[in-house]
Amino acid sequence: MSYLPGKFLTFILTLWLVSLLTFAVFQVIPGNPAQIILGTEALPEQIAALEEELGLDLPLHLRYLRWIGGVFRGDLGNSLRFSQPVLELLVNSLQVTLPMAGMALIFIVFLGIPLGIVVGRYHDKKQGLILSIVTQFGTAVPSFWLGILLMLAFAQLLKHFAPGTFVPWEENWVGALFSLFPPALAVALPKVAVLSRYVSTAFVEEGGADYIRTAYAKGLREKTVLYKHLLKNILIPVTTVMGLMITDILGGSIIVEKVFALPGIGRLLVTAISFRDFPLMQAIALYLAGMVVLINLLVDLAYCFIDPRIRLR
Amino acid sequence: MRIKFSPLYLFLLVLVLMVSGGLLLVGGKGSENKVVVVVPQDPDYLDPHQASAAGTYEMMFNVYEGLLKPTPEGGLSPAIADSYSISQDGLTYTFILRKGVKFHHGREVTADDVKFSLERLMGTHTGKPLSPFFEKVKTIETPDSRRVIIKLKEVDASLLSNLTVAIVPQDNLNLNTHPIGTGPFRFVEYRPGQRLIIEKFKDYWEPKLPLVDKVEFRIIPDREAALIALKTGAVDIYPRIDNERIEELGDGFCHLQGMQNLVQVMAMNLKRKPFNDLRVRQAINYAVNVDEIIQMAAFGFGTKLGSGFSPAMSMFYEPGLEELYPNNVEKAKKLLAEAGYKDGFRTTISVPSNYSFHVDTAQIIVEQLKKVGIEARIELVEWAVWLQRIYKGRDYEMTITGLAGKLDPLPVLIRYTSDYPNNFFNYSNPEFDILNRQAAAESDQKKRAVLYKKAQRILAEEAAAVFIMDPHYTVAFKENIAGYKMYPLYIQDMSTVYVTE
Repeated sequence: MSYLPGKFLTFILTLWLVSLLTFAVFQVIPGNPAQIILGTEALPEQIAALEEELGLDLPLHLRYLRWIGGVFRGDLGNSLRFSQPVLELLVNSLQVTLPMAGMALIFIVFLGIPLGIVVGRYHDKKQGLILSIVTQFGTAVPSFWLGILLMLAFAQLLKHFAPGTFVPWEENWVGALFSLFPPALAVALPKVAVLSRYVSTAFVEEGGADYIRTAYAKGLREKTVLYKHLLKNILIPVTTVMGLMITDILGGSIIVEKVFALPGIGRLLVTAISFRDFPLMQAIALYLAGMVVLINLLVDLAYCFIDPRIRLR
Repeated sequence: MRIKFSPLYLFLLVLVLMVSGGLLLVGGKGSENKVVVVVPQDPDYLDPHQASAAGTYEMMFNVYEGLLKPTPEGGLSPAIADSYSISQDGLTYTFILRKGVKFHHGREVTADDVKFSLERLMGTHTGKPLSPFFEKVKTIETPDSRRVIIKLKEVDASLLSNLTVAIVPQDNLNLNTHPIGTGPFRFVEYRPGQRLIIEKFKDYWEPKLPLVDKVEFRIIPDREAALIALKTGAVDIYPRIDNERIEELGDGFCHLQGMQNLVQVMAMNLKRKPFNDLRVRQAINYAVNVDEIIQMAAFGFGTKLGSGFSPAMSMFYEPGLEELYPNNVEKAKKLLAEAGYKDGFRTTISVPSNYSFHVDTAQIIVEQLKKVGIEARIELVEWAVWLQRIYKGRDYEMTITGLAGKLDPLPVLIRYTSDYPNNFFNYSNPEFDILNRQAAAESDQKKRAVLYKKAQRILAEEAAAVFIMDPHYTVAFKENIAGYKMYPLYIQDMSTVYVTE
C-alpha cells in the first residue's frame, strides 16, 4: 500500500513550497521589521543595530537556510514583534483557536445535519419551506455581522460574555470554555446553514432513488429507511463539505476574533503580516498548510470508512 | 415511557448545562483590590533598554524607574535619586541616591547598578549603544555606593529628562522574561495577545504607594470591543477612548481629558514642486481651516497649533502662532496665482491607513483644498509601507501624521533640522539649525526657552508644514475609580489609582 507514504511525501513537499512562497512574498512587499518595531523615533544607527540583532542584515538565501535549519532542529525561532519564541506564541493562540474550532464543529454537526434532514424530509410541506428560508438567510449572513450581534446580545444579557474576558485554561477552564461559546456560535451558524442546505438537497435527490423505493416496498419503517439507508448514502458529499469547513475554521476567524477580542491564530496572523514578522508568519503558514493537508487525508480515510467500495491508491 | 436520546436533545442538554455551569463558576468576580486597564497593543520588549514602543512604556512605566521620574505637569521629580547638583560649567552632574530603594528581587539599589544601566544604554562595553541619548556622556563615576557622578563632553541640556530611563539590577538577569525594576509595581505575568499583570511592590520607597494590589492590562486591539468591555464592566479604565463615544457611556462612568503633547501635522515634501515655493505652502495653510478639522474630526476635542510644538509643554511654547494663517480662501488663491498656479494643481495626500483619525482629517482637508483649486487625492498606505517609503524614503507629496512630544523640546524640534536623519519634511534652514544647536548647548532652561520659541516662530513663518492640532486624549473609567493622573506622555500611572466604595 503506497497510499500513506505518497501522502506523506506530498505533505512535506507542500509545507516546503509554502515556506518558500511566504518567504518570497515577504521579500517582495515593502516594509522593514526593524523600522516598524522601532517606530518613528528610531535613528538609522538604531535600525541598523536591530536589523543585525534580528539577523535581517544577512543575505536572503542565508536567512532562509538559517530559518529552515532551525525548523529541522525543532526551533521555529523568535518572533520579531513579540520577542518571544514563535512556538510559544503559536501554542498560545491555538489554545484559543482549537477549542473554539472544536466547539464550532460540534455546533455545525449537531445542528446542521439534523436541520438538513428535517428540511429534506418536509421539503414539500410548509414547515420545510419556512426552514429553508431560514437556512437561506443563514448562508447569506456574514459572520462578522453575526458576531457583532451576538457579542452585543451576550454582553447585554450576561456580563461575563464581554469581549476580552478570555481567561487562560489552567486558571478557569469553565470560564475559558464559556467565553469561547459566543464566538464559536458566530463562526458556526453560517456554516450550519450551509451544511443543512447540502444535507437537505442530497436528501431530496437521493429520496427518489430506486433502493429507497425498494426499502419502502419491502415494508421497512420510515425511520429505518431514512437513517439506515438514505443517510449513509448522502454522507459522502457531506463529508467533503465538512472537510472544507473544518480546514476553514481551524485557520481561525480573523473577523470573529477581532470582534470578540480573542487572542487566536487569526489575530496572530494579522499581527505577523503587519509587522513583517517573518518567523511568525512562516510558522502560521506552515500550521495552516499542514492542517489543510491533514484534514484532506482524514477526509480520504473517512471515504473508505463510509463506503468500503472506495479504495485508496 | 421511553426516553429518546436523539443527538439534538443531547446537544441542547449540553448547551444548557454549559451555560448554567459557566454562570455559577464565573459568577463571583471576587473582591480583590484590582484594576483592569484596556490597552490596544502588546508590548515589544519587556527589557526597558530594548523596548522602543510607546505601548510598552505606558505599561512598564509602573515597573521601572529612573534616577528621575516625569511628573503629570511635564516636569521631573527625583525617584531613585534623592537629589542632584550640577556644576557651574554644566558638565558635571552629581546624583545622591535615595536610601532604601529596593529592586523587586529584594536587593537595594547601589550606584553600581546606575552605572551598569547607563553604560548598558551607552554601549560602553559592547560598542553598540541601545540609546542615542547619552552620546555626550564622557564618564560615569561611583565614588561610593550612593553617589553617581556623570561627566559630559559638552553641555547637554536634555540630559536630565533622558535620565528617566530605567535603572535595572546589574545581576545579569534576562529582563525580557523576568523584568526587575524599582517601580511601585512588580511584574507578574505577560500572555501575548491577552494580558500583562503587575502587582503591588510592598517595599516601594514611597510607603503609601501604590494604592491597589493588582493591575491587569488587558490587550484588546479592537476599539468597539474595548468599549463594550468597559460598558459591561469587564475593564475599569479605557485610556484614549474615541471622543465621540463618551456620551454613549452614560451613568456610572467618568472621564478626564487633556492635551496629549502630540503634534498632528500635514507635511509637504519641501524638496518637490510646488511645495518648495513658500507662497504655495502659505496658500495651503490659509486654505486649511483647522477649526473646522477640530470640530469635524476631533468633535471639538483638540487644541489648535501654529507650529511644531504643543502647548502641553507650556514653558517652551510660543503662543499666538496658531493665528498666523487664519482661514482665507481669497488670500490663498492670490498666493497660488503669484506662485504661478492660478488654476491650482493636482497632488496626493498619503495617509497611514491604520490611523482613522488622520484619514478623517485628510478627507476634510481634501474638501478645503478644493475651494482654492487644489485637487488632492487620498492615498491610503499601510503603516509598514508608510514608515519605509514615506517616512524614511521621503517619497511623497503630502502626508498626515502625529509626532509625539517628549519631556524636553530638543527631540521635538530637532525633527526639522537639516541634518537630522528623520527630517522627512526635507526642511532646511540654517538659522533654524543654529538656534537648535545653541539651545542644545544652553544649560539655563529660561534661555533655552527663548531660543526654542524663536525656532517655533521660524517654522510657522516659513510654513514648514500645516500644523493642525494636539488632539485631546480622553480616559474613561468606572465611577468607583479615582486618583487617575494624566501626563503629557504616553503613560498609564497606576500608582495613585484606587477603588472607592
